[in-house]
Amino acid sequence: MSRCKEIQDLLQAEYFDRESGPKEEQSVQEHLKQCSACGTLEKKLQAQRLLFQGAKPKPVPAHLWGNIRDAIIAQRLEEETPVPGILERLKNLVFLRRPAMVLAASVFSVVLVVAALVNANLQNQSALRKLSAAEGIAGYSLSAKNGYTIDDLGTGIEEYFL
Amino acid sequence: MNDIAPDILERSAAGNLDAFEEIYKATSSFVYNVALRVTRNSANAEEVTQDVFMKIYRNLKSFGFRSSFKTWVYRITVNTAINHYRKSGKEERSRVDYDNVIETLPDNRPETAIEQSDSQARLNALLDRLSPEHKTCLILREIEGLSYAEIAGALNIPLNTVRTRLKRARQALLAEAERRPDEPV
Ligand SMILES: [Zn+2]
Repeated sequence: MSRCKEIQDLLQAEYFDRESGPKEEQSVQEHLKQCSACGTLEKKLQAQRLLFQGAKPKPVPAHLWGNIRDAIIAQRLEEETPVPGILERLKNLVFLRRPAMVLAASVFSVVLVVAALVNANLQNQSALRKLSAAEGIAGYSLSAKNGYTIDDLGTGIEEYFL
Repeated sequence: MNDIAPDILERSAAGNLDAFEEIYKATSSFVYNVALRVTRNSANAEEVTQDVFMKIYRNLKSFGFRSSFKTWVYRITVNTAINHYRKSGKEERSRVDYDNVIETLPDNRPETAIEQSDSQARLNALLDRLSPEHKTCLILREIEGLSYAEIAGALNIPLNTVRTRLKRARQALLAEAERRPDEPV
């Protein structure tokens, strides 16, 4: 590397940024005194630096902190809402009334009701047969006994479970 | 950027918003101005700034104080700003606002004001010709006054790469300035 190239390399980096050691700094300064080409480069770099020095920091918009604070609070609230843990989710998987379970339960209850109705009906029929025989003797009206048949449903179901 | 007391960092890491506001006060000017220079638009700079502080807040606990807090903030800022710049479309990038130029003008000196505004517009136009990496390096050095070691930490690059980038960026700016000396920007 020629001397000028070496100096220009330093000029555009360490020397210009005051990051070079005292020895390097001195050798650049001595070279600049006697070399106009390198001196010209230094002046151009100084002019470029002036452009940057004119760039003053812009004030941060006043509302920005409020926005950030709100965003943080919103995020905290989101985090505080409990997310189900793995145990919780396992429990739900086993015990939650999923559609299939609900359907099975409903079908089972319908079966129970029908069975109870059939049972009650059979009992009533035998009772009615006895009543008819009695009515035949005592002359009672059968139609008055219809309400009794319906009320008796509850008893039928209870009996089914017993 | 001023140093931040360890107890403020600790209280912020524990979730104290008042302590976090102290961090914001000490660092937001750096974050916002670097974001503004890199993205070249105040709406983008606000978005980047908010993003940076949300990242700082979220990660303060895991930061662990292994490295300097300042370097950590530099790095988050630079990464977020460059990513934002890359993601924004070419069209958006060219939509530049000059608020930053106008607001920094000295009072009562119109002729200097115009000169300054011209030179700032010119600087922005010149910086835009550089890659975001070279541009960021130069902004950190010339405007924010970071040392080579600090820039290396901020950009996560070796010291020698810092000097090479600065040198290339300066050469490119000089070449641009000479190539189009009278062209308005
Ligand atoms: Zn020379």
